[in-house]
Amino acid sequence: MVDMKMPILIVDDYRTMLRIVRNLLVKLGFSDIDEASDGSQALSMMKGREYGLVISDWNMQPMTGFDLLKSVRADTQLKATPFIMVTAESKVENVVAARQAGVNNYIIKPFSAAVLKAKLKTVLGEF
Amino acid sequence: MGPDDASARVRKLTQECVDIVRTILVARREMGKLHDPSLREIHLPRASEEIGAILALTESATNDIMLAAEDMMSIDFKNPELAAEIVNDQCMKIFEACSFQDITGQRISSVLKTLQLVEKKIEDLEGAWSGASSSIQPAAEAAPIDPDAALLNGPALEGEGIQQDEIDRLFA
Repeated sequence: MVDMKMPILIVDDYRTMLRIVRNLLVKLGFSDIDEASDGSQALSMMKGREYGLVISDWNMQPMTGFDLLKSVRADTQLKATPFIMVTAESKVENVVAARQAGVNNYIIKPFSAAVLKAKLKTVLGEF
Repeated sequence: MGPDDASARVRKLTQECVDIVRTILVARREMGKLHDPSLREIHLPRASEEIGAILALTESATNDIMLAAEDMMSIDFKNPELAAEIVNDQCMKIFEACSFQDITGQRISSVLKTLQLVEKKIEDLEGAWSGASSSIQPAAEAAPIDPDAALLNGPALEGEGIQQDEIDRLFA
């Protein structure tokens, strides 16, 4: 079973999206949610706390979500962290690159609560 | 006015005409360097489509938010538990609809880049005409140095990109 109290890190440079994802996660039953506004802040936070899941946007500055994903997968301490990309980048090249870099799932914006829930179940298991 | 004066004036006028023609030729040559078909053929049409997509998305989001509000206005509060459930569901729909802000923000950034490109072209044209154009280089598409930069395209337009179900198949 999924630990609904596990810490989740959401990463996006749009505050509106952080609020949306946070509210959807709360609605799904998760309660421990941290936020970061780009990849470098997220990476720094991940080194200070063990997260059960990272949900990240792609297009951010200075560090993109893709660079964050590659950094996480290259770090022995962090590489097992489940990672979902939530992005407006919907070209096949992006999806393939993210998959090759080790992303666990990929959600195209805009998305619904139902889609987010389905992907969380795919990555974390039933809850 | 003697013949010498008239001849001097003709020489002066001729020289002025030569200078004007020379200036026009130099400006024309400099403006030629600025010719960039990608602006008219790619960037401006793309910006126009991005604005169209922004209008469509904001209209759709507004409609979704109003529908959710209307559903909540028609709740029968005689059943408080059901009412709470409906309010909760409709609030989630409003949150989902609000994600338009992220997408439109990225589209507006793309349009802004095109406007900055147009602004730069106008500045270069002004420079070419005023003769301050020695530093103008021929227009060229800047190649991304970082290969990952080619993956930063922003939201796709209608008919571009792949759909969620296609992505799901890739991850199945």
